[in-house]
Amino acid sequence: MKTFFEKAFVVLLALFLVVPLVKMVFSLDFTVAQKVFADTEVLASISLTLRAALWATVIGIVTGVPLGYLLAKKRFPLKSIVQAAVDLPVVVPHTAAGIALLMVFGRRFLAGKAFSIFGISFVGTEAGIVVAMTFVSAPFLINAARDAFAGVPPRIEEVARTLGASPFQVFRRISLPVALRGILSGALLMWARGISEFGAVIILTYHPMVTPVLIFERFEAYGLKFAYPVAALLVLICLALFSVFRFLASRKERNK
Amino acid sequence: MIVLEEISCRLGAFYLRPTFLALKEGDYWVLLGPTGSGKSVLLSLIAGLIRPDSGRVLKDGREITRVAPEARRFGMMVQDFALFPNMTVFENIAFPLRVRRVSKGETIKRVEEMAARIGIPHLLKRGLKGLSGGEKQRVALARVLTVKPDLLLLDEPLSALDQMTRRELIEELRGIHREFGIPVLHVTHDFEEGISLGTRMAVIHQGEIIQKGTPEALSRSPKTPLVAAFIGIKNIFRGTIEAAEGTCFFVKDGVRFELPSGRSGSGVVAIPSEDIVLSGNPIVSSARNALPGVVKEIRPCPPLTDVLLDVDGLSLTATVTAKTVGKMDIRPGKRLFATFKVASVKVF
Repeated sequence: MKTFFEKAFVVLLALFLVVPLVKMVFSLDFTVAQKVFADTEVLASISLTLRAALWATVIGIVTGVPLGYLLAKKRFPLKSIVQAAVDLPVVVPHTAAGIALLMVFGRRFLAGKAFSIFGISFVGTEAGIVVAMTFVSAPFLINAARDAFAGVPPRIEEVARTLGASPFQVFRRISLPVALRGILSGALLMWARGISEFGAVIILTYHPMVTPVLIFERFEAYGLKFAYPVAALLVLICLALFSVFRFLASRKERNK
Repeated sequence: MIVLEEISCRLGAFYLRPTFLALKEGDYWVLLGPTGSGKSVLLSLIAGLIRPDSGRVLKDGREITRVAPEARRFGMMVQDFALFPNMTVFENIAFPLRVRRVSKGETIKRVEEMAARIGIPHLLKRGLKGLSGGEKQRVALARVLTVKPDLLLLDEPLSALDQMTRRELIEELRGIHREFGIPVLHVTHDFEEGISLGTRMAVIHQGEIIQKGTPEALSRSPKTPLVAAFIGIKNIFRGTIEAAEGTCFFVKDGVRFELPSGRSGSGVVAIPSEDIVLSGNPIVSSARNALPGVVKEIRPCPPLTDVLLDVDGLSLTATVTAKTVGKMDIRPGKRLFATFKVASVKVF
């Protein structure tokens, strides 16, 4: 039985999380909304943001899922250091992360120089946005994948081996499908973190502008009145996308 | 035949001492031991899930010590079933066939056959949710048998089940062992389960097999007090059960006594040694079994004493107090009657 204070606390916390977003979205009046929806700069920025974050997530899935598996299931030298390194981007300020990335991916530096041979630059480009988003949001996917794989009982995997499955077959037919839900929700989280990234992105790439940068710029240049419609639109799109994903995920669960 | 040649293994503080074990066609080995005795480690070693530090594992004379688990053709069943939660009952049973790339038609045929044999054809289309423990273990059993393995490894397969389901599955395992003839290694801490199924038994403690042999031999002459304590019952006999007109008898060599229940055929019975009354002359009482015998040996195990009687070749142990031995002047060669109630005989 919850006490009155516990209930009050929960309600207050929920209000604190929800009210600002709801208020912003509902402040949007029709004519302003129409204008924003027709603003090509805003639309281009939103599509850039969603796309770059998606690329970051794809990179995260390809590299982070195997890493999560290793962290959950295998023992290897310096494992605790690898784990600490994975968590690092979460705890450093994101502008600092951006500076650090610039010192590796900048034109005069190591990776920047190497990639410039292939004509790829990370400063002021979409590639730079993807790198920044990957760096700061990959930990969410890696840790989610690690936890999901750790939740697959080793006993099941062992029994599968004795029943004739190779380690790869065990991974593909059992560990991965069982962990899939956790991995997908991690990927969703990573995508969301990527979309909302500001600090690291702005250091590497101010132009082309991702939506958080655009919001910041409009706020700086024109004030709240011009910034909030863009913000509201981004929030609406994000909410819609995540609702669809959550719905699909819960439906898949019920079919089991 | 699978042979473990002096395999040993160190895992942290645990050490499995060099162990020799030969699992022959038709053997049903029961590995008995308390928790942490190393019985599961031994099973994992045989399955190939962990590598021994020394020694060899041989399968039909060929060394397989470093062969991967999936290439050994052994099947394993465990206490918590280890069914794959992302698959239906059908997919679970079909798993060993699928990873071996057996054709779809053949898979369906073999899964349906096996499900019928194990008594779960109605479950095939179901998911795992809502299955009872007994149903789950039957699914695991069908799954491990779809590709007839060369050795069946059972790690406490019945420990998570209630008493009634356990009895049903013991019958099922017996039938399967008879029918398939594959060697079985069954790990358990439950003696009754062991005696019900095992034709061979090994007692393991602190990483060492203390004694192995037939259950009868282990019960007759336990090497250490621990084995004796684990086996618990001293008089275990394997012989013929004759059931006729509501009365059952156990028959072995020239000995015959009445049982509370049983089915005709070969069977195992046990008489707790504490339930045997010794007397110089036949006594009249409600106990319907009285066997004449000759004292073979007296073994003091303070505060009690075991008196071993030879009853027409059958070695029967009665546990009495040291005082009784003195008062009745029991010594080797003396003729005595061993009397026990039908109700105190356990039939496995």
